[in-house]
Amino acid sequence: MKQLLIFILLATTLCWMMFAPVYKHVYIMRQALLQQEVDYLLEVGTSGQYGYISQMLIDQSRERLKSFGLEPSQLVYEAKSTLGQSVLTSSERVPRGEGIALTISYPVEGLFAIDELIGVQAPDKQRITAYGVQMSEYVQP
Amino acid sequence: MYKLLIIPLMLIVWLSLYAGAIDQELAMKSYYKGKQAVNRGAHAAALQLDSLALAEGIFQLDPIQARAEAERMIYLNLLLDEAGNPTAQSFIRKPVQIVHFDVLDASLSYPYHYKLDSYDFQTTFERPAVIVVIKISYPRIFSINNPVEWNIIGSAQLVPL
Repeated sequence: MKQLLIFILLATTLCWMMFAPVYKHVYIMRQALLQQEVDYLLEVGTSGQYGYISQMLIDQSRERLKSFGLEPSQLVYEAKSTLGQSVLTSSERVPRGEGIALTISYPVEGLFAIDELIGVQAPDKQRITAYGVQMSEYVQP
Repeated sequence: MYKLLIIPLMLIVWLSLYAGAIDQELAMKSYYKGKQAVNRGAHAAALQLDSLALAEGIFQLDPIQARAEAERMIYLNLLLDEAGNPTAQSFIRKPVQIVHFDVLDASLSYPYHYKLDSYDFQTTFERPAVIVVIKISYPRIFSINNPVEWNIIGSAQLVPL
């Protein structure tokens, strides 16, 4: 009985030890991927030509992230200006001197499920987020 | 009996190796975020044209406004409050310091070779520019390791209208 108990404990711990770091690595890499997209979209969106983040840019970004294995419909893009504008379109551009803040988030999915093996409960409804603010260069012609 | 002892010992070794690797990975991502924040701060500062000088046809940066905007952008990007102290959402735990801030005047002769020996930084600017250095410390997983602190340098040239 005692040996059986030790075996079960050891087996779950070993299982966790072998696979948990890989899931943590996936989490970090996904966060880095989202951060990269935030940086790219901000770089384009704040240039003097745009001053907003267009739907086309977002759609293209979804396609890029899809090629890394993320589910495009689960990605949430949220662009705001530091002035408080919540909708950014070609008719509502952010003027030079104000910033565009962009947040991309994606559900964690089951990345922390393996921690239940050692009794750590994964927080539900958690999302991986990437965030950035950059000042717009757009000048009203 | 000794064989059984080896297993828990190896588990500890593996665990610390994995934790060290993840710590390093997180540190690199944090450094990258810090660098992006500095770059965006410098970029925001380089957008602050002095309107009085512009009326006379000189492209010149306003140093006071440049500093204010650079601080604002760096703090916003690192999710800090207005005084540079970390909030609950930020990935750093210690306040961020701006250790060096320089605005190059329009009266210098361009291309201007800028040298900052104390931070081992040098570059050539074609237009008036802003140089920012911040110091951030990374909250590491094992506090017995040496503290991880970086001086991150960023610069941007004046963005014309």
